[in-house]
Amino acid sequence: MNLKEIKELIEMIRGSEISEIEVEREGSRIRIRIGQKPVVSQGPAPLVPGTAAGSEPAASAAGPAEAALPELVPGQVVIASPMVGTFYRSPSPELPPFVEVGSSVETGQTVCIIEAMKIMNEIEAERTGSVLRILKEDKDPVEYGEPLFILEPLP
Amino acid sequence: MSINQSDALDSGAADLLALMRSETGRVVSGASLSRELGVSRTAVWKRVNRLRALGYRIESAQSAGYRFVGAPDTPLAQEVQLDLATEVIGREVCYRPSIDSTNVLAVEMARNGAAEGTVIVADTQSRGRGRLGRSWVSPPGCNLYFSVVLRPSMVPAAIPQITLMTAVSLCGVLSEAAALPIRIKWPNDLWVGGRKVAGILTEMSSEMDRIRHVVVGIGVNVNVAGDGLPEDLQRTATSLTLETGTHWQRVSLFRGLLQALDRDYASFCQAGFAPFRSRFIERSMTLGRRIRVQMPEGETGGLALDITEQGALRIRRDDGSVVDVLSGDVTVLPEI
Repeated sequence: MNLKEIKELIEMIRGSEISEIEVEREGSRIRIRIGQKPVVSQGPAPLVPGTAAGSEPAASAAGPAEAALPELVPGQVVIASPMVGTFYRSPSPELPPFVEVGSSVETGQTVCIIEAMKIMNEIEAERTGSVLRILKEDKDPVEYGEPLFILEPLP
Repeated sequence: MSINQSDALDSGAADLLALMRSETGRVVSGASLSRELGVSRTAVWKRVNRLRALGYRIESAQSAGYRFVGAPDTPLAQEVQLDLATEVIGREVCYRPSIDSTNVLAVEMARNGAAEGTVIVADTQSRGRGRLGRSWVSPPGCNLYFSVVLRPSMVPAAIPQITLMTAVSLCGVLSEAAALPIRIKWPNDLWVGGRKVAGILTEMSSEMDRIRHVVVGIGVNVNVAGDGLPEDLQRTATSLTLETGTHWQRVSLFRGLLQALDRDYASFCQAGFAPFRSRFIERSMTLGRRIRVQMPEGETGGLALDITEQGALRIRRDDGSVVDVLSGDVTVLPEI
């Protein structure tokens, strides 16, 4: 399968309801997953990155985002975003991220920043644990209630 | 509060200050001060020197005594709090002659339980902060740099509106005091005549549904002269002095800002953003203009239409689509 075909596949998935596809042909196999399903705008105004849904109230009115909730093993803890905004993994561009996968965090330790309207909201771990997964990329737009991290609590 | 207030007045010097202030301009003998305060004349002399070191102007008249001439125009706690008419904001004031950043200390104090309304103010900042590690140039002796600790009981999603409320509050006081047409650049800067005169940096810490603390940091260019700013800022920054040609009293301006913030914050807690939205729109320099928005993930632009009830900036892009911008650096394009 060549690059052009893969690109076409990705385009096809983008324009569909499918979020993941696996294709096997002539001994090669490829799996494509669109990490974040595009959030569908609810109002007349479309959603662009860094913006909230058009003239509908911000996502907070619609309740926590349910999209992309990862499967949780019992005992694991999700840190979710308390507001619509932009996800930052480090305090400023030239500094290292607050945490990496495998980092252990203490209760009250800052794990990321969510920014909206130039407010920097430091999100703290609500319990001691180790970071199993980081679900968003630096500078990704996030919705209210959207999961950001999965922690494995430490005793 | 058991914070290290490096320039806080000890109670002895505070008593002397109150006594001397009430006799401003008159010579008071060392003997009578010593009698009134119940300490030795040497102790009075030591206290006088402590006040002088803070910038109080006290003359000694050889054998006659001391004469209080005036207080420094420095935002010392006892000066700011003199006749300060607020309920919450500024009940606790912590002054530092020099600090890395008032927001950094405010966040640290908030974590350690500082009361709502605690104000941290500095004469100069070595690492005054803007958003995302950018800096706020903070020369000494001329401007106002301060941070306020708030603990509102509302959902975290409402907090970005505190920045807008603060912008409205500051804009009202500064434009009235200086009689200048100051405008708000969404969401957090005040501009006059095409240059920035004040900025707001809000930081918070929250859980999903509970706010731990909010710190609103404010920088106002009051008396800084053109050559007090780095060259690259001279075209984009200004001060009240540069705009009016007048020297401004920092302390009384500061008191005015705290009093307005105190009132506006109380009203925000009660009635939310709605009453501030119309004031924000009235004073906005962004609306009705063509703008470019640099967002974390790319650029967009169009005509700035409105401020939504959430405080977002609504724009119409050139393809006719209407979007609400929550984060991004806005550039207002020159009118054609």
